[in-house]
Formats: sequence, structure tokens, C-alpha cells
Amino acid sequence: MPNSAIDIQSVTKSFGSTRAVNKLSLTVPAGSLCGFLGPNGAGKSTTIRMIMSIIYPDSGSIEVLGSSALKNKDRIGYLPEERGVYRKMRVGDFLKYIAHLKGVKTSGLDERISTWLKRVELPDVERKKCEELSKGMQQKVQFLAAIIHEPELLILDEPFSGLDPVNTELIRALIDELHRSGTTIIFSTHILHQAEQLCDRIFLINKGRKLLDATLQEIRETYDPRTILAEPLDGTSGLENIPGVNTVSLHTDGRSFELELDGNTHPQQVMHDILALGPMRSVELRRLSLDEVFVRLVHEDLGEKAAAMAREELSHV
Amino acid sequence: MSKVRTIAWREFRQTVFRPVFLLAIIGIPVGIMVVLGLAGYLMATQEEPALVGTIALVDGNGELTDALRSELEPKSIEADQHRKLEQMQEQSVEQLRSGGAPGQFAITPNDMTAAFQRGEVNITVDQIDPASESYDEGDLKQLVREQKILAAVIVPEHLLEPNLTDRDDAEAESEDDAQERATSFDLFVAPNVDNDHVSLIEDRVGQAVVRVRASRAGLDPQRTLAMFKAPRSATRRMLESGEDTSETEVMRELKQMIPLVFMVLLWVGVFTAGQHLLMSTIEEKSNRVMEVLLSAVSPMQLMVGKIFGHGAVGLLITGIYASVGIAALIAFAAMKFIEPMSLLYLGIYFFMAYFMIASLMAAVGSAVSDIREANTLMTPVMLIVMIPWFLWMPIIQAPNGPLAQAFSWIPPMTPFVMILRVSADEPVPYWQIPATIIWGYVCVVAMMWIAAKIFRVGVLMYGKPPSPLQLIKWLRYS
Repeated sequence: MPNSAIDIQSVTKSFGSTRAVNKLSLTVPAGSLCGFLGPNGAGKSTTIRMIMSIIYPDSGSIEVLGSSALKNKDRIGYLPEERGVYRKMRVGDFLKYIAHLKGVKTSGLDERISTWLKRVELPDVERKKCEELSKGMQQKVQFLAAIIHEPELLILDEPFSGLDPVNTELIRALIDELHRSGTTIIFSTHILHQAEQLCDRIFLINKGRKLLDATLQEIRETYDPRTILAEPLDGTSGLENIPGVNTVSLHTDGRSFELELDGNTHPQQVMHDILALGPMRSVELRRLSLDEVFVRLVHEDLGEKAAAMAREELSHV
Repeated sequence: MSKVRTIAWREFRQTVFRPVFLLAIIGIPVGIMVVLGLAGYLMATQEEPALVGTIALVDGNGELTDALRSELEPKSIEADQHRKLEQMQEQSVEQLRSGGAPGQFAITPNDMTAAFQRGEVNITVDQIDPASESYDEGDLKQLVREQKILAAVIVPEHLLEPNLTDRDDAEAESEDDAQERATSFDLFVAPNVDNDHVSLIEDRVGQAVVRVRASRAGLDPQRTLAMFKAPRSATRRMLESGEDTSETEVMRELKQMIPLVFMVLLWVGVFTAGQHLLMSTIEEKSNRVMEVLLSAVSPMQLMVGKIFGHGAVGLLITGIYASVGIAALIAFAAMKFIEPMSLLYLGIYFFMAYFMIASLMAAVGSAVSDIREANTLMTPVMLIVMIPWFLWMPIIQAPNGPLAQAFSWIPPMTPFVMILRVSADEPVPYWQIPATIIWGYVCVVAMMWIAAKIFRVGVLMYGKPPSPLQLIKWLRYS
């Protein structure tokens, strides 16, 4: 396998006058679990469809597993955002049909299907028609259709959408397991904290443009935390007098204080100064969430108005 | 190729191995044949009611009475049945030629029963002299009402005059005159006489009137009837293989139906399969399973697989119906109606017609989200393809006329018009068959190419159905 599972170079795609993807370049390292993030309408599904060679870019190039996705379709698993099943088909037949289309031989396929159905807690549905299953059950069947041929690269477009917390956890565990077994996984979501829990690399896009392409560690290092959360034991004040602290505000829990630092002050020095003030129940350096990183990036890229809109969108998630 | 085969097999299996399909394609024709056979058997075995009794005939000199008695003899009734059967045969052929649908024929099962079957007929004719003092029309009607006699007949004297026809034609005459010279006689029938028997009495009295007229004109009725009967021809078609002596006028007329049968076969197979293809494409779009499929196969593979799968369905349907038809022809020793080459052409034009219609159905199915939207897009196409239905009669009457020749080159009508032409009597110019076949398949390739372009874009489009302009725009997408 090449070092990169997906290599996208300066890809642009427009629908009429709308530019869905704009000069996007990114590389998905082989064996990684990447989050492809962005709010609704950011261009995630369009990019994924281009990766799958379902639609084609207006310009730029896409390489998947060393060549085009068309040549490697059998090595790729794909769970589209718009997914469905044949309502009148039996679950077992549906999975068998998709597996055959993905080049899986008949021998041993029945056992494989039974095993996977048991893994997703659907042991008795093989003979049932798809329309007899609940929506959540159908989604698990659709997930199995994406992995039944044991792909090297798995692309999941909003895999958790519509799932209840129990099934979300089940699918999350399966994704984690597939990743550990060496499958390269890229999944898109507009719920950023899901990616934060799972991924080791993040691509963040907005309005068809890439805003961020980094590992989680790099993000943490790049977006240096500038906020300290301190909870004094006896309500001691004087926090605002510590050098380098710009503002002090009461946290939403009503007990802690949020200290916003200026750009030049080292957080460790401030934490030391806080402890010197008096006894503290806790002092912690607050990390930025991906949501906050996203809003900040949009702010830097497109200004305050766009950042406010992005904040609004994320608050609806 | 194995993916195309997998898709084709699924499409075939999901369409054919369903109770609804088996019922519609195999069950309904078999059911119709069983019902018709059963009805025929029951009609053949049921006992017809006898007609036994007396008819009172108002007749002054006994001339009409003698004639009616003669007409009611078993020999005359049998001859009349024979004549009626011949008339029906000619009528059926004429109705088929004029394009009447089977359900619209004027010949009803009652006509058939009347012509083929008759219970015992034993009627006594009582002559009633209108000049006698005891004669009273009211009394006569009462006898009929009380079912003491079967019927009473009053024939106006002028109806028996031999020069009646001159008067009949005088359309310009006043209404009063026309009424005076009315051409009907009065027949009063008892309530228990069934309609078939009423028809029989009407016919026999009418024939008796004709007999009296002929007699009064100094003609021998039997000789006159024989004289006016046109002779039948002994037609022989001069074939390369020899002389076909078996052709009668009726058979020739029936043979003219063969092209229509071929076109119907083609039509049923192609459009049933095309309809299934359309529905299955719409289903995949509306179920949102399309993108899952496109992650495994290219749009072209998907479209070709679906077209092949439903093509096999169409071939199965055409094969079943053609086999039933051939079996029927063999059973009635009429296989000579079919030229072996016609069967070959049926195959060639089936694939041509199917691929043309299938490419249209696949394109439309991919572009719309439900069957109502599909119907809107299909209407103009259907109007074009319906043209051979409206014009089949002029086409087979003049298979090499300008109309037939022009429509042979317009896809998607080409296969439907050509199957009519090649199975008609008159040979098509030798170059036109291969030329239209090549042209047809060139059009197939072009239509498939356009369909593939639309299919590739359409399957991922949801919402409002595209306008024709948008469809053209889709063709330009890479």
C-alpha cells in the first residue's frame, strides 16, 4: 500500500454558479483514522463523492490507493450520506448482493454475513425483508454493506447520523476496531466532538475550502490554550492582579473563574502565581475544543460575521 | 463483466420470481384460455331449449303460410345456420381489418350460440284469414299473452309485392308515404319464447316473405337464391417452392393479421420489460440505494446490467407468448402462415426495439423521483411509439408505400414498422431490411450513449424533475 491512501490535489467542483469545492488539497495517510469535518454544506459529501469517482472534479486530481477509485472500488468501503436498502429484499440477500458487487466470492460469504450480523446485534434478521427492520437496524445493515468485503479504505459519510446513543457507541467501537486492524478510515461529520474522540487526524473545511489539516496533537500545540480555570477554596480574589491576565470572569458553574491570558504570558507562570494567592480546589489549563478551533479559523479566514454564523450552526448540532 | 452479470441476474430474479409477475405474465393468459375453453365446453354440452308450438299467421290466400311452412322445415333451418356462419366469418375478418379491438366486436356469444346450436324446432303454422268474421287481432294477441300459441304474425299485403324495392329507395317522399310503405311486419311473441327463438321466427318469416315475392314475380325462389350467390374462388399463391392451393379468401384475410400479431408480440415484450426497468430505477433512487451501488459499480455498468436483466424479462415474455401462438398454429395446422424468416426478424427487431425503449426508460427513470414525473417525461415518447398502432393497417396494405418506407427510418418506430412490413405479404426491397437493421442498431448505440450520460447525472439528482433543456445540459457534463 502506498504511504497515502488518498491524495487530493487542488480539486475544484462547481454546480451551476455554486462552487462546492474550491482548490482543495489533502492527503490521507495509510492506516490513519481521519475526521473530515465542517458544517452542513461545507462540501464534505461532494469531496467524498469525487473521491469515490461517483462524480468528477472540474479541475485537479484525485488518487485513491495509488490510482483512481474506479479501479479500486472493490478495495474501498463506502457508507454514503444518502443511504438506503432494497425494501423488498431480504437482509441476507442484500448483503450478499453488495458483497458480490464488491468482488467477494460466494464461498464462505454466508458465514461472514451471519458473523457480522451477530456482531451488530442483529442475529435473526437474515431472512427478514429490509422493510421489516427499524430505521436504526437498517442503518446497521447499511454499515455492514460498507464493510462486508473487508476494505483497505473505509469512507463513512456521517456514519452516526440518526443513530441512538447505544448504536452510536456500537458503531464507534467497530470503527475503532477496524482502524486498529489496519484499515484506513475517513469519516465525515458535522458533529465535531465525535471526531475529537475518535480521530488521529482532522481535516476541517468550510464553503469548499480547507481551513485545517493536522493531527490532533498538532492542533493542540498550534492552538495554544490561553484560558485558565481556577476554583479557589475560600473564594479568594485578586486573580485580576496577576501579571499577564487580561480578563477574569465567573465560569458558568458559579464557583470557578476563567482567566484570559494575553499573548506573551506563559500559562505555567500564571498558574504558579494563582497557587501563590491562596488555597485552590483546582487550577486547570483549558484546551480549545474543535468547535472553538473551527470558529476561530472561520473568524481568521472570513471575519467576525462568518464566525458568528459558524458558531450559530455549531450550536444547532 | 461479472458485476454487470450480477446486476442483470438480480434484476431478472427480482422481477420474474415474484407472484405478481407470474400471475400477470403467465397466469392471466392461461386463465383466459382456461375460462374460454370451459365456456366453450359448457356451451357445447348444454341442452338448448326446444321450440315446439303453433304460430298464427294472418294470411288471406295461404300463399305466405305455405312459404313459412317450407321455411320451418329442418332442412331450411340447417341451410340458414350454414349461411349465418359464413356471414359471421366474413364479419369477423372485416372487423379485424378495420382495427376493432377484440372486445368491441359486434358478434356476441349469443350470435355464436344462435348460429351453432339449436334445440328441437317443431312449429305448426295456423293460417288465419283476416276476411273471416271470427278474426280479431285483440283475440290473437290474447292467445299469445296466455302462451296458448308461440306467436302471431301479421304481414302487410304490400310487403309481399315484388316491386317493393322501388318504393324503398324513394327517400324524398313524404313521411306519411314512407310510413304507409313501412317494410316491417308485426310479430307478437309469447313471454316464454327466448330471444334466440324470436330471432329464428323473425328470420323464417322474413325468408317466407322473400319466397312469396319471388313467386309472384314469376321466379323460382330456389333458383333465384342460387343465381344471386357469388361463386367462391379457388385461389393458388404461386410460391418459389411451388403452388400453394390451400389459400381461401378467409385464410388470406386471416393471414393479413399475422403482421399485427408480430407487432403486438414485440410491443408487449418490449414495453412490459421497459416498464419494469423504469420502475426499478425509480425504486433505487427513491430508496436511496443508488449511491451504495455506485460505490461498487460505475453508472454505465449499473445501467447496462439493469438493461440486460430486464431485456431477459422481455425475452421471456415474448418467448412465452410466441410459443403459445406457435403451439396454437401447429394445433390448427396453420403453421404455414408463418415464414421462418419472420421469427428471425422478430428476434432482431425485438433487441432493436428493446434497447431503444430501454435506453429511454433508463434515462427517464434516472432523471425523476416518482412514477408521476416519469409519466410526464414519457408522454411525448409514447405518442411517437404509438404511431405504428394507428397506422398498422395502411402499412401492411402497402408495405412498400411512402408511408411505410418513411416511418421505417424514424427511431424508435423503426423496429415496429419493419416487423409489420417484413411479415406482410408483399416482399420488402432486399436492401431495405439490412439497411434499416444497420440504421436501427446505429440509433441504438446513439440512444444508449445519450441515456448513459443522462443516467450518470440523473441518478444522483433529487428534487424537481429536469426540463428538456436541463437534460441537454447534462449531456455536456464530463
